[in-house]
Amino acid sequence: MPSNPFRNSLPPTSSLSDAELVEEIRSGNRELLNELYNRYASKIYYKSLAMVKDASQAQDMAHDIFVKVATNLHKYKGTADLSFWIYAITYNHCLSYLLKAKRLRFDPIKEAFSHADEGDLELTEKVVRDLQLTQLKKFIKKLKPNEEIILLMRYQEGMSIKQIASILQIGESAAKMRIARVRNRLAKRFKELEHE
Amino acid sequence: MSKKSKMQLLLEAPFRQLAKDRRENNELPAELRRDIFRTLDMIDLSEDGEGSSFDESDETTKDFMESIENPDDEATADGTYYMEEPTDEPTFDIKEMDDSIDGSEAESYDS
Repeated sequence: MPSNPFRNSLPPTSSLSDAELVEEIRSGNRELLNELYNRYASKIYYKSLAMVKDASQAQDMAHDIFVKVATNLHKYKGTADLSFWIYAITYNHCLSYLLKAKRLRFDPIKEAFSHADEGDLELTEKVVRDLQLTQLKKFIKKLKPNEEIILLMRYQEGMSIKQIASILQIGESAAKMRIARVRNRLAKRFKELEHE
Repeated sequence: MSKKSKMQLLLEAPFRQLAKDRRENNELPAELRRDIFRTLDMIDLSEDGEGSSFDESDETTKDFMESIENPDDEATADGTYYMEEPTDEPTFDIKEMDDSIDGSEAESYDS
């Protein structure tokens, strides 16, 4: 009876979990880097584009980040989702670039979060409820890169305060405070836009 | 399981729409795949099959990469973090990320 050539084959690569995919690549199946590319390259590129604002630069960033991910997969311990691990590397890489290019500056900030930093949450909620995409785009153009990045982390990616703090390498209180301050500015700016 | 704060829900929808808009208006560069795999092939050839790390000389990056995963950090291991393509419909049933770290504080700050 002829042997089944598919007996020892992997399931379709698209059905592999991220953990299985990483394990296969680590075991030497480098063909599966293509699947890793299919899953994450576009996400890396668009995140980079959101941060560096230039398509050509974002392409260079995405190239370097993916190569960094691929050649450091042995460091991925599996205690966090692969998506978070890759995302953290993406942010770290772009932040390093922006810092070196002097387009980004994180001012020292006091660690303790006070209720004064919350602003008027009720008012902010009311304002944010009616936020339109065009208004958000206008607002984001007015933000400093570090302010935009922290909002993207929190509200586009749904990252926790702890995750944001670990990527920015700041304290959790500082991360909370920065988010609250930018959010309050968003509400204030939105009100101004209404009158423009 | 705590729910996402109202502020989180309100802001996620437009921010995810922003991501969708960015994707729709900017194509992924066609040559990105080719360039990446060309670099990976070059690294392979130069390494003689021995494992190495791109950018290993960058100590800051190296330290960062090794610190991303903290075995005690349940917030990053609970499967709630998402990096999926944003959809038109916000997914409100995702567990609040702050839940596993300081959910009560997050609620008071964010809602």
